[in-house]
Amino acid sequence: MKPKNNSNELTLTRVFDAPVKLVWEAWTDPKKAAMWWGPRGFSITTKSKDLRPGGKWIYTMHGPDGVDYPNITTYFVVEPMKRLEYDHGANENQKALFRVNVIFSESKGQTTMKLTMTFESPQIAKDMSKFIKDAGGNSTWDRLGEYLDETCNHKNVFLLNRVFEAPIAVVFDMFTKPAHIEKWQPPTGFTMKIIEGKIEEGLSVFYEMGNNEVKFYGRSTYQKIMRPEFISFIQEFCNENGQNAKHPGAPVWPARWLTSVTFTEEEAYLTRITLKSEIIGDHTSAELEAFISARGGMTQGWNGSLDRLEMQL
Amino acid sequence: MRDNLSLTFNALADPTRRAMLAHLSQGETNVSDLAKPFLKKMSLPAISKHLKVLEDAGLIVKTREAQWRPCRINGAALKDATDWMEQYRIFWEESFDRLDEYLKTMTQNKKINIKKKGKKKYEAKK
Repeated sequence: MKPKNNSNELTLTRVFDAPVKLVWEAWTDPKKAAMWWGPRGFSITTKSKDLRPGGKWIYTMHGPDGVDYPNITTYFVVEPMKRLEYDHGANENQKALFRVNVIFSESKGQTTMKLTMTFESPQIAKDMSKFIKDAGGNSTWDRLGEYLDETCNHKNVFLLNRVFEAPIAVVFDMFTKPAHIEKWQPPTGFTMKIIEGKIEEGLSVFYEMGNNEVKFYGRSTYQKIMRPEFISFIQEFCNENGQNAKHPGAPVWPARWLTSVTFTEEEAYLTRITLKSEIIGDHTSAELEAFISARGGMTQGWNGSLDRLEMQL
Repeated sequence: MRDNLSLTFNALADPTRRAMLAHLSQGETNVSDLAKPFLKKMSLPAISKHLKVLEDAGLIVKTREAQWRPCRINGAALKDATDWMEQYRIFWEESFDRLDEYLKTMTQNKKINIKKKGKKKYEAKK
């Protein structure tokens, strides 16, 4: 998200698998907003909320480092299910940092959210773009997407959006050409080698990841490949013979999970990736519980995690 | 971004280290008591090395510098390590950081060329 052509605006568009009514409620009901508002690791407490033009939403954002950020938002436009306009970042000691205009529209059960942030000057827009990126601000919309999938579709999904400065075809190749995947996918210090297979619909690749201390194996089976905008594949861990197996370093990792990647051309040289993953097929209740508690976050003490770890020992 | 995924993978991949964590889950223990069950199988330096790997991964904490250092498990790190979502998120965020870098090296030479072409394509679409 960068300002275009020296503009004082930043824009972003997201599509959610939920009707506009739910998206609107997620935005405007303080109890629901508390489930996703702010970057990952943040939580909020609402003091009061008066949702109407001129009304205020007074809340505190709690940072992962324990720092509190008081916020007073003023609404300018409130058109249920259609449009919201408000300012962001004001509190008793500072004026608002920018104005936000959000337009919602529903089509075939999906909701498109177009958000525009307006700043005092192009320079401030540029600086704030960097500030928002560094603060993990873009993860807010991933959290909203996860929350909506959970409440609307009763699915626990993982979402990650990221914008890359490259043409869509080049970014698509990064996910579909083995030589490229091997370069960027493995964790730092690890190497990846695709041992056999092809990246084609209905076919799979078998790969090895490792360093001099540990090796693990996995398989990706490709479901759909629609160049250059979409791929989906099922991932699983294997042993060295290609049979399904647990990964020794990840005891609660699910056996199989489905990942889909959507590529969107935001501009000629700017491509957004939306990565979505969910557990599929059989999974033990412990895995499911681990999966859900990971999402729930704070409630689960480490004892539960340790129990699951011990089950694997 | 911290690359704690590979550290955690490494740390948890070894059965000795998992046994040490299981032992520590019973409560704080000093290093020598922790080492005892393993002394038949391996040397003290080897045990120290395992502890160092766990410590570097943030999974255990040695509470003070002394010969009989009590060790305890770091609950937060272990929770992160066993939370699938958290690990998965770190995995992809780190992968995307690398992809970003990789794309830069890939497109540096071609950038001007592609940018021109891309622009034409974009304008043609409009």
